[in-house]
Parts: sequence; structure tokens; C-alpha cells
Amino acid sequence: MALMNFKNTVLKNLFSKPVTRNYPAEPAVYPERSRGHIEITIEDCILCGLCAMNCPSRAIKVDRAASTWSIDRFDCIQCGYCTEKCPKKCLHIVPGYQEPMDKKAVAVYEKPVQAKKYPKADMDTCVFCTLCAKKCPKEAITVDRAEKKWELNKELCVSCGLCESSCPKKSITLVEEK
Amino acid sequence: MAKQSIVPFGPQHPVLPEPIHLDLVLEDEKVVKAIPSIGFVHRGLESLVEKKDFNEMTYVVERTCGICSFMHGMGYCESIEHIMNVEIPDRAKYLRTIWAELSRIHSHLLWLGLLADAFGFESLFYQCWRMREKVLDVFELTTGGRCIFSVNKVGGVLKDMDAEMLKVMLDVTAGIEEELKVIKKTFLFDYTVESRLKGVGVLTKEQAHNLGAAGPFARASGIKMDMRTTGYAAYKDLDMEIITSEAGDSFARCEVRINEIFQAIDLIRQAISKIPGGELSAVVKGNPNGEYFMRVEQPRGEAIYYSKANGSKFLERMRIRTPTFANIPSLLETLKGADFADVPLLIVTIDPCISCTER
Repeated sequence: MALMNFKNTVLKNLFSKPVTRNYPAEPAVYPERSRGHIEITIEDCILCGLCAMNCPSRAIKVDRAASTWSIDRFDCIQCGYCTEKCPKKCLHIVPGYQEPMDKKAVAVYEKPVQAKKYPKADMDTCVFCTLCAKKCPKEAITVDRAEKKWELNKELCVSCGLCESSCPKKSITLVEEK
Repeated sequence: MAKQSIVPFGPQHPVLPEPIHLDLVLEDEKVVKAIPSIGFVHRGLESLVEKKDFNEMTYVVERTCGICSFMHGMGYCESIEHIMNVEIPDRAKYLRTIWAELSRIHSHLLWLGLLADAFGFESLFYQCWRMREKVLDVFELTTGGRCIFSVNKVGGVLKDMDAEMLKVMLDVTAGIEEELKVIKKTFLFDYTVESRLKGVGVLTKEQAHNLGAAGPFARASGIKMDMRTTGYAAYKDLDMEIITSEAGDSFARCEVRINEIFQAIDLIRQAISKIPGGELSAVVKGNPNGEYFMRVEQPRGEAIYYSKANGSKFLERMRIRTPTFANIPSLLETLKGADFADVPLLIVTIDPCISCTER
């Protein structure tokens, strides 16, 4: 038992530099992995809506008719699940926290107009395995193994390319259509 | 018989970071009975399983609490992995163990600070939280988050740690070990601290057993129970002895938690020296079907995750039994006969986490 155990710690603290940083005069340094906020490379986005469908806090909205991708930064919990789900890897989680705002606002990103790409199956190599139909998030592909038919509903298709990447025979390619 | 009076304690009180209410029945300065009421921050996280699929649910479960967030996610993922019979890669198991033990250091340092604050030793409180800050920096470096990491997923982990990060982790934990050895003297051998903690709020081994106490609170009463010995994640490959104390008072609880920090540092060292290479996650196919009870040892004690799946992507039922919930009956027992001035201190000694309790 002693009375003066803390004395050395007090003396050390008295004659050492402060451990806190003089923020904001000395800016904060974030490590590379720091989950600050979500950024989008809107040119690469295909508006498939997988991020919006999987966002646990439903912070992301995708409007295909208006070609916009929007995020409510106050709702976002920086879990990074959207970046994992994005088939085009156009979503990134980057350091630097959301700036304070005086009212809630939704950040809207508009996709520049581009010609749309649709999947096309090469009937010579296709084995009608139905993997593309199973992977399609919008159920736009129908495959009939008995009839040897592969059909695409262009209205439902979002050009995500999941069918292309899942095809074991590499017989699906995304082709531009005017 | 002395005149009885009832003093309301909480839900807003300087010692409580979170809301819990106790009606204290006093006879002069002695507490004769405490009547709790909880439910101030109930959020209904468990019922979200009906709306979020089992993968998304990982992120919801992680947000049950800000301190043991990682272990909530880990416990939930392990329960789903057991239902689906997914064997996760060894590297993922070790990474989970390392992060879990680092979370334990972070939680116990936070608790030591709160304890120091509760018995009125402000500078000791700052000293503990200063050490904890270094742990948070390591978390940010390795996972990207300071409190909520979002690195767990059903089937493994999302992020890897390279050799450089593991070295930083070893250096930081070694630094904390040195600093803690100095601070330990103040907690365990100081006259003023001892006078506030020794013999205060005694819970006997029998009482702790009968009332179902969990974690360091139970171990301080001599109950040798630690879920890490069941060998989940990589614990089966690591050597550890359950840390207990016999006295069952507030001082014993402090002693157990300090020794558990040293134990956690040792476990991290062992895990880093044995960590194998390889994949981070296993392929998970289909939806879970079945039910499982997963028991993990959180910093505050044993937590139970019950998941029931029906073959669809939404679970049928999910339940979390948190350690604070288990410790409330024992807390009420320790409050009986305590001085009114010791009530805040005794509430802190169970390491209450109300957001966990009410989910």
C-alpha cells in the first residue's frame, strides 16, 4: 500500500508535450483504410440499383428514369457493403468525414448520357446452363434448356454485366446498341 | 425500524453514460432494496431480421453497441456459419481473434477510466483513456473504423492485415503493457483507491452462481467460466488460463479486468506469432436453414446469439442475450446493504452497457 504511486505519472505528464493534436490548426491525418465517406465514379455507374437494394440503412437511391444516383450522407453508416456489392466497382469508400451541414441534404449525381449496352449470347458456345438467369438481379434473362432458347427482356436489363462475368463458357458479351 | 425513503437514480445521472433507472429504497444512508426499470433505449434491432437479409443483418448486429461491436458481428456470423456448415479459413479465424482481443483491451481500458472517474480520480481516468486512444488508432489503421469496424461477413473477414500492420499492433500493445504496469500500481496498491474499493459490494461465489452473473463480474467472485475456452475462432490454438479472484468485491473486479488486459496482450502476441497465410473468406452458397446457439466471451461477459433460419434469405428469429442483462440481478444483490454514496461505483463495476441490454 502506498500513497504516492501516481506521483511519477503526474511529473512525467507535467514535463512532456500534450498528446492531443491542436486541431484544426494541425490537420488530422487519416490512415488509408479510414472509412470516411462514399464516393462514386458516376461515368462507370450502370444504375443497376444493387447498391440501393443492399444498403442496410437505405441511404442510397437510384433513379433509372432520371439517370441519377443519390445518397443521403446523414443516413449512410459507412459500412461499405455497397462498395462490395457494386458489380462495376465504381463505388469507393475514402478517408475524410462528411462536412457538417445546417440541414439534411441528399447528394445527387447525374450520369452523363451514354449508349446502352445489352448482353448478347453466342448460341454456338452457349450450353443453356441457366447460370446467367440465376445471377441476373432483375430476372431479365430467361433460358429454356429443352427448347434451347436464350431470351433477354431489354426493358428489365440494367447492363450490370453479372451475366457476362458468371458465364462459364464466356459466350455472353455486352454489345452497344443505339 | 428506521424510516424508509425512496430515491430515484437515473435514467440521467453523471456516472451513467446510458440510461437505466433504479428506485433505491433507503434506510438512512443504507440501501435496502433497488428496483430497476429498463427500456429507455429499446430499438428493436432483433425484429429487423424480418426486413434485412442475413448478410445485411451483420451490419445491424454490429451496431448493437459501440464498444463490443466487433464481437457482436463475430458472434452473429459464427452462428450463421454453423447453420450453413461453412468452415472459414484459418487466417480469418486468427484475424477475428486478434481484433476481438484488441476490442477487449479497448473495452477494459474504457472501463478502468470510468471506474477511476466514479471514485473521483480524474487524472487516472484521463490516463486510461489516453492509452485506449492508441488502440482506437490501430483499429482505424487496420479496419478503417475506430469503434465499428464492419470487417466481419458470413464466411470470413473482409480485410487483411499485412506484416507491417501486425508489427504496429505488436508495438502498440507492448507500449500499452508498459504503461499499464505503471498504472496498475495506482489501481491495486494505492491507499485511497483501496479504501473506495475493498469490501464494497461483495458478491459471494454462491450468489453469483445462483443469480447467473457473467464475465469478469462472475470471475471476480471465483466462478471459473470463460467462453473462450470453448474454442471458437482461433482460441483453441492459443494458451490461456481463466483469470479469477476470490474476494468478490469491487477491488477484485478491478483486479480481474486489469489482469485480463495483460492476458489479451499475450493472446494477441500468440495469435500474431501463429497466424497462417491464405484466403480471407470461404464461399457461401444458398440460404441458411436451421438454428444455432453461439456463445462468445465479450469484454463484459458471455453473450449468446440465437439464430433460426427457414431456408429463405431472411432469418425467422434472432436473439441476443447480452452480459449486462445477465448481470443486473447480481447488481441488485450487491446494492443491498451498500452505502448510498457507493451506488454509482457499484453500478460501474458490472460494466453496464444499456444499449446492448435493450438492443
